[in-house]
Amino acid sequence: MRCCPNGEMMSIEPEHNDWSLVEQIKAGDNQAFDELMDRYKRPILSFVYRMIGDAVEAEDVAQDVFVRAYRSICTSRVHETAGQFSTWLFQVARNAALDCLRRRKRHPTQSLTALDDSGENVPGTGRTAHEESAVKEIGEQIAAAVALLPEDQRTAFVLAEYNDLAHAEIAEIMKCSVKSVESRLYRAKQFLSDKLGDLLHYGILARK
Amino acid sequence: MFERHLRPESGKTQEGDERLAALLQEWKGVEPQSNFESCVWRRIRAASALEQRPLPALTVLRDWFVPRTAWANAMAAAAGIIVGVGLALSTPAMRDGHQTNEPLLHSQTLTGSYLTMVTGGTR
Repeated sequence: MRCCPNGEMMSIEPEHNDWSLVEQIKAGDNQAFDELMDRYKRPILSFVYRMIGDAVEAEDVAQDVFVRAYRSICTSRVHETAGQFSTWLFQVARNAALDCLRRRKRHPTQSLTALDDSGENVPGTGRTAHEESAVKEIGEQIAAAVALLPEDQRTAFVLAEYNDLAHAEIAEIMKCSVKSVESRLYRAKQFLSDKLGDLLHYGILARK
Repeated sequence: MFERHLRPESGKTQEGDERLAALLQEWKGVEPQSNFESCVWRRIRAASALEQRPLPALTVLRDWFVPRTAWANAMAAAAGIIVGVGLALSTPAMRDGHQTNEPLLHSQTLTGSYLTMVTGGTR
């Protein structure tokens, strides 16, 4: 499994593979679940955050993903035949994110693009405060544009761009063909290029 | 000939894609809170505790009624009919006072009272 929290590639060399950890959890080993959480909390949180655009809510939804996962594992509703464990977990995360977006639709007081920057990685970037605020502003504009994408395009886009998943794995998560994933990615990128045109031509160039 | 036209275009697209990818990386992610795991465990324990707790009598009663609204409505209607028929049968059609062959024209009914009023009780 490759994880890409905050756009950085990270390779995980697990001591035990995910499914053997699942078997240990079924046998009552809670430490095995801690290890699974440690492996996946960043990619899952990153995915959920980019799907719903709110850091505080994303943390809550990501925790809910692991609660759902634990309960499914303990009730033996998930087996190795389900394919890769990460694929199954991302399916759970997608459903949880969609539930959250549906709840928002029912209670529209909360903004779709409401961004909470409490979790932003400001320290250790080597940027000045001015640069940092510019980067934050760019991030907000990207988030607002991504929030305008239809859900299927957004899911495919976030999984490909920020979680660095292969098209085949995205297709499995979204239960569609690889062609559909590619088409969604193409349309998403076209849309974002249009929406972020000014930033693309002036923002980045000006900063370089 | 086509290649000559396409090459700069595809080069442009690739450059555009690279620029878009670079821009998109400016949207930083979030780090999980330090107590992420403990929060998850707390929620798991809370959910299990909720499942194991016996249901209060009122909840059981409510659960028995709520999904059976159609059944409850049918029972209420049946009870209403039984009570109505019972009352109708137990009430004498005519009481003392103005006697008439038609129960509806009995002096104690609305129609009977109206008739008494308009005919001056000569009926």
